[in-house]
Amino acid sequence: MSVISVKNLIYGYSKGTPFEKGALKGVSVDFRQGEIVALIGHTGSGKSTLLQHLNGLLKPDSGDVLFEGKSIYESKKSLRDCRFNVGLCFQYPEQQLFESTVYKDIAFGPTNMKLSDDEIKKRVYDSIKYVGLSADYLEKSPFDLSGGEKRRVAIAGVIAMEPKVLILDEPTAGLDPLGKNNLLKLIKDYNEKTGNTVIFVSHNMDDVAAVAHRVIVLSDGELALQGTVDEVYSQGEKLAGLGLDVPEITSVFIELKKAGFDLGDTEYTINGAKEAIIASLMKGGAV
Amino acid sequence: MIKDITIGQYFPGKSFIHNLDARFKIILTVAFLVLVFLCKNFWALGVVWVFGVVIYLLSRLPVKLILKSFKPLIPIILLTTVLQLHYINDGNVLFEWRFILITDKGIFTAIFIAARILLLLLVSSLLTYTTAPTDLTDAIEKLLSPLKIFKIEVHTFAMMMTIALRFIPTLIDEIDRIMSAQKARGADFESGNLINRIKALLPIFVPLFISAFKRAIELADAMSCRCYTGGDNRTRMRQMKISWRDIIASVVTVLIIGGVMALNILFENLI
Ligand SMILES: Nc1ncnc2c1ncn2[C@@H]1O[C@H](COP(=O)(O)OP(=O)(O)OP(=O)(O)O)[C@@H](O)[C@H]1O
Ligand SMILES: [Mg+2]
Repeated sequence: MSVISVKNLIYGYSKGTPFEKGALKGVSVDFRQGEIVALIGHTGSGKSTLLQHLNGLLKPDSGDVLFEGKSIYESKKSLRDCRFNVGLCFQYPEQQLFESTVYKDIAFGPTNMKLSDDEIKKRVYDSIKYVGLSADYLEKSPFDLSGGEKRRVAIAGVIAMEPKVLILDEPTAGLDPLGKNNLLKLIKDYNEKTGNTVIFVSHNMDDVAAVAHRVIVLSDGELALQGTVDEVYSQGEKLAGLGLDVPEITSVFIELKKAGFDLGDTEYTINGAKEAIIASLMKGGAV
Repeated sequence: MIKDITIGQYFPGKSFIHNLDARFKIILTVAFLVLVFLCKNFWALGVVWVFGVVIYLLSRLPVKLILKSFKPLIPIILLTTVLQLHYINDGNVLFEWRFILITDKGIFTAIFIAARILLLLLVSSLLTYTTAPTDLTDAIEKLLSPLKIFKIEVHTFAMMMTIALRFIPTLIDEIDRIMSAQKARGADFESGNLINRIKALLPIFVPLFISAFKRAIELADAMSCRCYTGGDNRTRMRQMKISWRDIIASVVTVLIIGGVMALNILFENLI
């Protein structure tokens, strides 16, 4: 079943001025209950713009966004319902943090949901732990944190609302390798524990391969490709044509093929690659 | 919504108004503001309005954008107008109910004042629309330079003005950002009664001030990193020159001031 679907979305920035710019040119996509979707595309392809429509922060010039089958723009109530159920982490955490302490910032969403004080407190402590920060941070000002810490606080603020759809715009940007792996784990874990949908943007094809069930590729405000990770990654050349990388393993396999060892072109994880190489060695007997 | 406000922004261009010397533009703007206050009846105000519109047309600014930017100010203008209605009690009574008393003179005065406020806003914003901030600072500094004999740091003052102007659009962006961040987490700015809406606006201001202070500190750091030391004995890359345009503009303004005085004497005065 689809939680959010987007129908023929058209959106332009700065309408009616000389700076007018079409950012989305008729995009239709479905996001299904319980899946992890990765949104990829070159810089300026409209990823962030699309995400800001999913919780109604932007209003399309034409087209519609349906949350659980109902248009989110239908009434003020449906828009607010959608905001409580679709949690969006902005591309730059600085854009999202505004309160004077980390505690207040994380509590902002739950407070708007009119939860009880005990419940709010519980959610704040749980979510700061969830993103891997200690409770010592709660009394600090979010503006005095490092970039990676800000990122985590911003994510905690959204997770505290326990949204049915969690949206993360480039969540791994600016994190160290350990922080990045933890974040990918968090995405998987949130999805598995709650059964909720997660949508994230990433420029790193290996990260996408590691957690996503499905991949959507945008290019110049239009849907270029979509499908399972296998389906999308096997079209290495098309991806390259859209200004995107293929995962490292895929490029190794492409080179191997050029050198005369055809192992197929659908492998993109290290384990899969290992199996494929072993299988081919067994079959061929020797190299 | 709030982003539509463009007051304080600079729209580059090559029109007659853009090309006026910034010093003249400041003086003439002040003269125009005085002119608006000189008007005592609809005839005089009408002439000044026409003058104002002509200046706008000459500046070739995008009309739609400017109109949009004044939309959020309409409630303020309406409010002052309504208050006026209430304060003027002489003239023929048109409507009376409890403590509310509306007279024809009240209505005329209210319209007059609204037209005046709108014109003031339009013309004063024209200065920043058509003058590059650097030119504006230079001009303010030049105009105020006689004050140096009183040991007033004119350059510092001019710099402060420029920075303030430069940051108006930035602060508006900032308000937009904070509102989006809060909306994304369920803040409600649109429903409920007036009191609730105003209450919802309050949490915007604390973060706005925090970030303004942060920006100020960053800017100060950036300026000291580039060895900014203030203005004494600095020379300029561009010298300001008076041209025929400035002379024409000044002459026209003086003529209109004369005309308004005459109209004030010729016709019955409203206020
Ligand atoms: N606030 C804005 N005002 C005007 N134009 C904008 C604005 N935000 C984005 N754009 C333009 O819209 C297009 C799409 O931008 P968007 O931010 O959605 O890209 P993106 O895919 O998220 O890119 P990135 O990977 O760099 O984050 C870009 O060409 C951009 O220049
Ligand atoms: Mg983006």
